[in-house]
Amino acid sequence: MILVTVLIATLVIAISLPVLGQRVLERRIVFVDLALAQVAATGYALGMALEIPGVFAAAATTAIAVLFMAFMDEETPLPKEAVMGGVYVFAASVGMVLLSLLPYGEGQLMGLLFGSVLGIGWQGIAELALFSAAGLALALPKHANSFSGRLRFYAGLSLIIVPAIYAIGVLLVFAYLVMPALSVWRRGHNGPAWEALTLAILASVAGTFIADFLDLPPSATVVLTLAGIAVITGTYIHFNNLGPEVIEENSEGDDSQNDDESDASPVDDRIKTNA
Amino acid sequence: MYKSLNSVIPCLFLLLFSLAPGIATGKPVIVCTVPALGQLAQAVGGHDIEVRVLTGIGQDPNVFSPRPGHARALNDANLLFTVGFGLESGWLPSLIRLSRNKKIVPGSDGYLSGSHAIEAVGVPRGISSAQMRNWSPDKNPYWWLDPEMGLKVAKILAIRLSELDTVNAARYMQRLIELEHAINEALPRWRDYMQIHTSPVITYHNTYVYFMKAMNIELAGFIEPKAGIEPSTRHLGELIKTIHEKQVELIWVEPYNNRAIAKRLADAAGIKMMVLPDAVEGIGLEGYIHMFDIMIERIARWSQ
Repeated sequence: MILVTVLIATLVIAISLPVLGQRVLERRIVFVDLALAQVAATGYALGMALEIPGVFAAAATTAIAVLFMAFMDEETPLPKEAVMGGVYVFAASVGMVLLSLLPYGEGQLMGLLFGSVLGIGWQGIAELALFSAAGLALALPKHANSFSGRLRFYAGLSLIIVPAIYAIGVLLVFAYLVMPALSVWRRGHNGPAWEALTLAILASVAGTFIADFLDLPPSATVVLTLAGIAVITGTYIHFNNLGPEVIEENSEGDDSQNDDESDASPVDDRIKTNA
Repeated sequence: MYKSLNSVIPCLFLLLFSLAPGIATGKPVIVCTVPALGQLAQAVGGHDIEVRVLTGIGQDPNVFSPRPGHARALNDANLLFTVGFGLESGWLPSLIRLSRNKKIVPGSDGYLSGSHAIEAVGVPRGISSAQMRNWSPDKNPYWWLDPEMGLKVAKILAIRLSELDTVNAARYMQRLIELEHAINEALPRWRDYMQIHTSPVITYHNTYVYFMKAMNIELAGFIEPKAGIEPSTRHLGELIKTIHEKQVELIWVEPYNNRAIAKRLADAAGIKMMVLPDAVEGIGLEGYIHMFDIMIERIARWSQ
């Protein structure tokens, strides 16, 4: 029974996170998931300190963080990873100070940050799938590099990542967000999404059964299986020189042809897959 | 100008630091690492000592993050009373160093650990051979949850206090006798209550093994046999079988542990999960006895 829920839960994130991970990787904002999760956890602790429901406080602080991130232009000269890292350490430190003042707080906050795939039941899986679908619907469609476009992207991202980390833990979420996308990454750009999805699903099934057969912790075993498959796939792609051909950017004289797409993500426009 | 400021600022800091732990009372200062030890110390020392407790109720003493105020609390301590068995090893040594109080370093008369008075419990009744492989009896520090163990340690504490403060030695011994009477009077009542209300139980970690041994409760297994390592799906599957075979009705979880896995296991097996405290509010003898009263009342209520 528990084996089945573990398998289904890992399959849900194997379907939702790799495609999202590709969007995260191309924007060079890998720390965004840790930052958002920490902001939510700190909000939860703040809620406990102020004696208001932790979930509402977590939603409020996450919304503030999403607004803050949306102000940052995608072409900003600032190193975005450093900004995300800064948000993470700031939120973690606030959380730590709050924790030191709250009896019984640390267990709940740790639970919020480091959920376990073993703790998720059918209701939790349904909620995870629902949040993932809503998050993907917001984050995946191309968005303009405007405040509202970025807001939609980060809101979608937080709708998937925060509940997923709460439900199954930061280890699995970070692994599924980064590893499949990284494995099929080629010539400096994202590879086909179906490749990332396939290897993620394969790792979920194989990792869950290997963990059960060898009596090992499922989260770490699934991550190790995913890492193994990702390294093999990545090495194969690298040495066989597979991948999209990068089309040179248009010359200045051709700018008028792209006016209708000028607000789409610049990275998406530069990649065309080989026939 | 700068020179005078340079000499004034350290003096101000020194003044603040010396005032921070509280106004000197002339009583021996006993610093305890966990709340239950504070209650035991107060039970023996009464109003003849000043008790300070480093961790709060509900805080996990394994992963406590001390603040500068905790080091200052140790500055003028006459006795540091610790659980031992490695419970505070992650944070206490550095705190002792920071306090610069040579009277309370391990090995001195001002340092008393529970591990000086008792031996950690052996393999508990009802544990399977598979679980025994992961069992480390020498590292189970939760002795204060066995009232008889608490009493044994309190005896050593009373002797140590009598040596530190010879004037009040007779009063410490008198209060020890009162503690002994209170525990001996309550213990049969607690055991009878548990015999009626409790079937074998599953716990998250080994925290309650002393308590279970004292109350003759059978342990059916741990959810997380190795602390901090996520259990396997196979282990949880075996626990579900054990729950049905041994007719386990309850899972106990510490206040500071992740409840999601315990809740999932309880739901999958159709039993209940409850959070059991390892310390409660209260002062001295009454607080220590009250902890067992609350634990037993809560177990009885959840067992119905």
